[in-house]
Amino acid sequence: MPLIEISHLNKIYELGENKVNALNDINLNVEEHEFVAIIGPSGSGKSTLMNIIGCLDIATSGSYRLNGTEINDYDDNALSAVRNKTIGFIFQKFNLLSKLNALENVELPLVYQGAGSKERRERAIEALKTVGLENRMRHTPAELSGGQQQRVAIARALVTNPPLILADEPTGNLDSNTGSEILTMLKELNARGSTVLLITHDNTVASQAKRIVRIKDGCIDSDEEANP
Amino acid sequence: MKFTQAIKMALMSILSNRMRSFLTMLGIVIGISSVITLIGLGDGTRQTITSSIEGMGTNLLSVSLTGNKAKSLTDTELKTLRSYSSVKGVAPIITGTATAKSGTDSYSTSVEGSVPEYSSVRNINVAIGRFITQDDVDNRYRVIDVGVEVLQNIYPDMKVSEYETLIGKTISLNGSSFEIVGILESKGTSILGSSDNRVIMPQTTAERFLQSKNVKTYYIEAKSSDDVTQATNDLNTFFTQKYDGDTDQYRVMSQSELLSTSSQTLSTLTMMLAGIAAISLIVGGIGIMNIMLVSVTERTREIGIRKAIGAKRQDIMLQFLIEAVVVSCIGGLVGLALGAGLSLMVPMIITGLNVSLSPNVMLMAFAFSAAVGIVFGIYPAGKASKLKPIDALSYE
Repeated sequence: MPLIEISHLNKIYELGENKVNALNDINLNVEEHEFVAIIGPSGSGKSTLMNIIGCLDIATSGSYRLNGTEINDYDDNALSAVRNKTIGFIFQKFNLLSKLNALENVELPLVYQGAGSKERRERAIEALKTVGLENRMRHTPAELSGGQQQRVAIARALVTNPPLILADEPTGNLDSNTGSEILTMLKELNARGSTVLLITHDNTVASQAKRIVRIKDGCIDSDEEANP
Repeated sequence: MKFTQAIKMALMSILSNRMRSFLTMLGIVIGISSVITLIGLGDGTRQTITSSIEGMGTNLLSVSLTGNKAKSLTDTELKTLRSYSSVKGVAPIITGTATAKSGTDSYSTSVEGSVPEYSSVRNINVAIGRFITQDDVDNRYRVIDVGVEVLQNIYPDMKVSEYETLIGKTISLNGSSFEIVGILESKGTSILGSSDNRVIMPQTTAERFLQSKNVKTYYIEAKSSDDVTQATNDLNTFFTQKYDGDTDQYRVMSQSELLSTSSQTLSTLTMMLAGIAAISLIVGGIGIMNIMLVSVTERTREIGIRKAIGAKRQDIMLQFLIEAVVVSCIGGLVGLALGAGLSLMVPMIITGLNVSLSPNVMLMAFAFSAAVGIVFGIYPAGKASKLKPIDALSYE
């Protein structure tokens, strides 16, 4: 069973009188343990696709099955639960809560799972160790560099052990050195068994993945193994 | 999400915006403290008045002859009144004012002319000396029982322990001299006025002294408090007969009636004052709602992040609602403390005013402040919880 199973998926935005077909008949399967890059220029619909895969938005029509369950019928709360347990998000803008320190940020998904404070602490520390930030746990995002902030975000994505890691332009706000560090980290995560979905507009970033899906004008343009 | 965690989050957010939280609370603080103080003042006043009315005797009834046909009751009529089984005593009373002189200073005092029964009917006790006697009344003796305040005015330098020596001395009222035969027990001062600034003299003496032949007021003491209703009925029957059913000619009032009327009036007044103060609570609540709405807009991105990583609607709802409730509850507690402090200070500044703080009122005020938080927090919290994560995340 594929982890992600998308068939005949459409997304139509209504902007006043106009209807915009952001996604047009998308068919995409992603198996477990894959490392897939979705690449496309801005306006291609890749962000819309990423929002739907990330359960942040639902499709207008078609089917999206994640981990075997149909997502399109879910309500707001059920989507929250799916995001919480099944998906680890890494955003371009890091999206850490500025008033919480690194540890508290990483703990947050576990808070919404209702985990006890001791368990949260242990698992968050574990995740921060994985990204090499065990010495920066008490720092707030403002006291961390961009690369460190993104590593905190990765730790936050890891802490619930989700089957799917969704990285939306994770290197977009970083210089190339830090960016490649982050990519190496994603590769390591994939090597340890996580399914990683990387959304980017950058060919060099995408080339780090094992499989590259090109998207253009709301349609899948090409879907091929990356050249090693 | 666990409830304790939600409270922790709310407290963190309140503390991270101290100035704003403080200003938001201020409305509630002012509202609660004024409600507490005003209710305390109202209750205190009611208690003072109630106890001073009760001090006059709970079995007391009064008859006022109000009509133009009104004439003093004859001795036979008084006898009839006294013969009722529900009536223990009847005391006619003439009142007026007189000027007491001492040296060059003069003081105004009230004069009451009555009979020996007045003492038991009105619950008036003599501290030193004796009350006026039937003999005084029959012979129109110029004797008086004096209230403490009159003595304090006339002899400001004299100690209370030396008042004994005044028995048998004379004082001058409106230029005529009266012999002091007794000194009245102090009844204290209330906002109704002082009951100690008075002299009591025989009815017959007063008729002459005040140049008033007509007694218009009679105090009647019922046998017991259970007999008050019977006595009221008996009196009504008597006077209806006397005036051929013309009820405008007289008015029978029982003390308990007076008590409940005044108590009711004051309660209404208190509630009105508290109601006005409660308006400021509502204004405070609107302040909370306003700030919460701003806060929701400001924190749209935070809400988006929280939702993206798994916060459910009720989690966000709870977080913002608890924030509003915690702000209003802290405001309520501070308001309680401030209100209690003010209530304790008022009697120190204004004498004669009593304040009564009841735990019930304080509990209710606190509950009300929490309710304000819920009522005015629910809309902003709902608004926050309904934000779509995708819109909230892209919010700049």
